[in-house]
Amino acid sequence: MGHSEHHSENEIRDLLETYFDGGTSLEEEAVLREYFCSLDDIPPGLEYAAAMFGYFSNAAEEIPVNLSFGDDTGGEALPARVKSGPKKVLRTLLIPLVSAAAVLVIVLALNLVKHGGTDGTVYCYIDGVPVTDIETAERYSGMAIEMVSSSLARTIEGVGHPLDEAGRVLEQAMTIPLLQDIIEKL
Amino acid sequence: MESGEFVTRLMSQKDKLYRLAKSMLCDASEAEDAVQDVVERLWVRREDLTAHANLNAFMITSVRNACLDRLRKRKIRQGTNIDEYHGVLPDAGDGTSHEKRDMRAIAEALINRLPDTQRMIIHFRDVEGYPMEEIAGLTGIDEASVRVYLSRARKKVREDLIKIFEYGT
Repeated sequence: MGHSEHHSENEIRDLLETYFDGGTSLEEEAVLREYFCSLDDIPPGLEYAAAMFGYFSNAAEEIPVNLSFGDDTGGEALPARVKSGPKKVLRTLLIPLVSAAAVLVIVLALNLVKHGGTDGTVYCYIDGVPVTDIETAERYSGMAIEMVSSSLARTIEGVGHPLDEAGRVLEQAMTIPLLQDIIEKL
Repeated sequence: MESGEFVTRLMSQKDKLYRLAKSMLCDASEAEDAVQDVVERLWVRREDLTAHANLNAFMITSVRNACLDRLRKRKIRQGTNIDEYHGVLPDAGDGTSHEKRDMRAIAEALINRLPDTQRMIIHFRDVEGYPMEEIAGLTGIDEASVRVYLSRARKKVREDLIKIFEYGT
């Protein structure tokens, strides 16, 4: 048990008082840490110290899970973005984009149901102008979705600042007249 | 500074940098982001870093400042709910009893609730084991004040832990 064998409980209690006054040396703090981390049965009234030193001991061994760099061996590679980066981009982007796509589908479907696909059906609005030609509506919808998806792909592959890029892409997506019109009409 | 030397120095420090960021931000993922941001900034200006006599201290200070910026940008966290830490800890599989893990988790939650400066100082001293004079250099606070901050932080955690353990018996 190392140091803990050589220190009585009373000595430890005295040392703790000095510790809480900020007066212990690093060596004395190491004694306290070893004492409390090696105990199976914690003396009554010292549970707080066991909790603190247990945490300190654990925290000192903690290592990052997703922090990685482009080259650990000393090459010229730029440090790689952490692996969690793209996940955040995906989470940040996909939720609003999927929502927008769902709204688009619902609006188109509602229009079809409402007008039954007869002549004069308004499938969507582009810059405030009603579109009654289903091919035109589909073409504009496809362009909008393609624009968003290509921006998304560029962002995920990018090495700059993905979250800034995500914000930019979202702003860009919201300027698409078709999406604006749909959202305004909700 | 040569890129190879930069990477070597960085790799020797990255775990410490991460632990500091996590202790300040109380969030593992954000801590990794913060360290990565700092590394990218330092990488760009690595040729200027030779001028720093103590690069390790410079890296630590850079991460500390980055974390302080992030803390300023986000609202100061509200108190962590200790109850969240009961019964939700994964089994570490290391033979450590659930009771001990719970106690440590409670201590961590209480430390995370300390004011930023106290939390940073208790991390430097009690987790990383830095000498007082080094902590004074890293924080820009004189050594006597570091001891005062440290004592207050430790006593506050002790006081809260005693309340919790007394309440639980």
